Amino acid sequence: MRIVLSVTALVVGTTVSLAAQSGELIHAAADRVPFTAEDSVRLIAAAFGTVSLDDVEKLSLQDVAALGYRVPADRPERAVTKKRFALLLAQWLDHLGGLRYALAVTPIAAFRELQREGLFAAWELPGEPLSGAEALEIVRSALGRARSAER
Amino acid sequence: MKVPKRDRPNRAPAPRGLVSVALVVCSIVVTAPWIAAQYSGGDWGLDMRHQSAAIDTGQGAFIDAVDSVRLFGEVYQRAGRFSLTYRLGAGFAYSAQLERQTVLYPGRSGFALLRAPMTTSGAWLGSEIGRIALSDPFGVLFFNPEAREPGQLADGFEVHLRRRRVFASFSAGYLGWLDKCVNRVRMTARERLDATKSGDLFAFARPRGIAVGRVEVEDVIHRQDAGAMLVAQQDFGDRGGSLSSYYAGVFARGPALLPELHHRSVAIVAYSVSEAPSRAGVSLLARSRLAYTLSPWWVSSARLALTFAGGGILAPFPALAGPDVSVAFAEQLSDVVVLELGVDASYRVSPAEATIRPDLALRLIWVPSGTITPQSKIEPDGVFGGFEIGPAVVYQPIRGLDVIARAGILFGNTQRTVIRFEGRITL
Repeated sequence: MRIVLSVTALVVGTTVSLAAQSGELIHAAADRVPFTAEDSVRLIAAAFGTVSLDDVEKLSLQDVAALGYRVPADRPERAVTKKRFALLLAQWLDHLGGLRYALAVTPIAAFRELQREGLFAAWELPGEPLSGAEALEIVRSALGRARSAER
Repeated sequence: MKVPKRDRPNRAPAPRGLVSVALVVCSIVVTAPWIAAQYSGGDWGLDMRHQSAAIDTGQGAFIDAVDSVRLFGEVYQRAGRFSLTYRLGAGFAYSAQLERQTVLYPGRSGFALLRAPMTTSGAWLGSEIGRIALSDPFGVLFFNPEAREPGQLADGFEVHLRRRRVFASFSAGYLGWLDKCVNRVRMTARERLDATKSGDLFAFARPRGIAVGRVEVEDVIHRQDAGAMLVAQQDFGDRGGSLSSYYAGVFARGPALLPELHHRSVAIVAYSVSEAPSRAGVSLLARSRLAYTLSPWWVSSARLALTFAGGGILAPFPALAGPDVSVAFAEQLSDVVVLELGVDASYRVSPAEATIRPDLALRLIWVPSGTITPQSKIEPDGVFGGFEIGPAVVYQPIRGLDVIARAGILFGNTQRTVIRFEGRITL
């Protein structure tokens, strides 16, 4: 439910400023501990319109893998790391990326790509765990950039 | 037979006290973080290059080619806001044309400690110890993109701090443990010629110490970034031809008058101490580059750059490890005046996201002293003056794969044509 609320905030934020949304929605996702790979998939898939908001809660890593996305191998109950989150997000961004990413779509190559794009800061480390609040901020920035590129 | 100390080859002995301290520091650094580490990880990188040059001096043409590989691996640990990175880098180069065909050397390696900020705009503090890469905000003293190691390597430490719009760093290192093929701080013509002539597997560079302090501030006034830098280069060699040099420089960059017009200006004063009177004294390097962004689809920008390095009544500027003057005039920025006019463009081509970037430059070059230029072996007849036409093209099918062709046709009282080709893979 928290993810649904958070994603609603993101999607609505495409037309209305995110800042105008209830801070409670943001905090709902930010408070999710640990923020897992499955939470990441639901957040990204809903934000990019891959699934409807009603179906978000039912989405699993297996469903996403069946759609052809590369899913990071990790214990599902663990907090997602920045590089694994980057792997998921880079695929949704349809990121062509650099040579290293094109040769092998790996979590670390995806992280370096997104770091180069400015979605991760220069000092951030790929193995660092990612919080829900950070994930929301990254997806929001990625959506903003994707919209700018389309224009 | 007893050989006088000054005539013995340089073995660059390591001070014993320094080795002991380094061992203790390494032991603490390696063991302590494993206890407190919250998580760890690793990364690697690879850079492969082929560089070749066809040079026609009018008395026959010859070809030089160098293939090189640089790679690094790193492991990092994070405990709280502190991260510690262990890095190991190495480089290898092969050239069939050089007397010393293979060079194998340790690259940027060592330990880096970083205190990460709480927010993306917060302050961060970092330090690095081991084999570091020196850098400068001007890009004229230490950075040469065509070199085997673009940043000048040194064995020492660096501390850097960023807080809001201010970046400050201090680094100090020793150059005597570098291979002399890798070291680019070569202050004399003889040293530059000797760099590629040794047949040894490893040959130490001349013993020198170097310290660099720099401060940069973003958006000081009217969207201008500004900075200052101090450099001290001390020659510890006891053989002839020693040259120590000290530098103070300022730079500014940003829009100039119009939003489409950007400038990048640098002024560096150097003070040299040498046994040779002609090399001692005060000298100046000044460079100003203006670039104007253009709107037609077929051209991206036009530029004008003026560079002055030493010359005249001053001593030649003691150039460190920066880029060469130009493609055909492959000399250090010392005792030269260059006026460059150029245009460049960038086009999207197939496959998707591939780019092709042509560039055309005209360079007027003047060597006030008219002394022989040892690297390019151009022999000026009196005061050398000439101009160079420099077309270049960079094709990038995907980021990390670059194909670069550059030419320089130098006209003057000595004529030469140089065509350089570079293929590069970066992972």
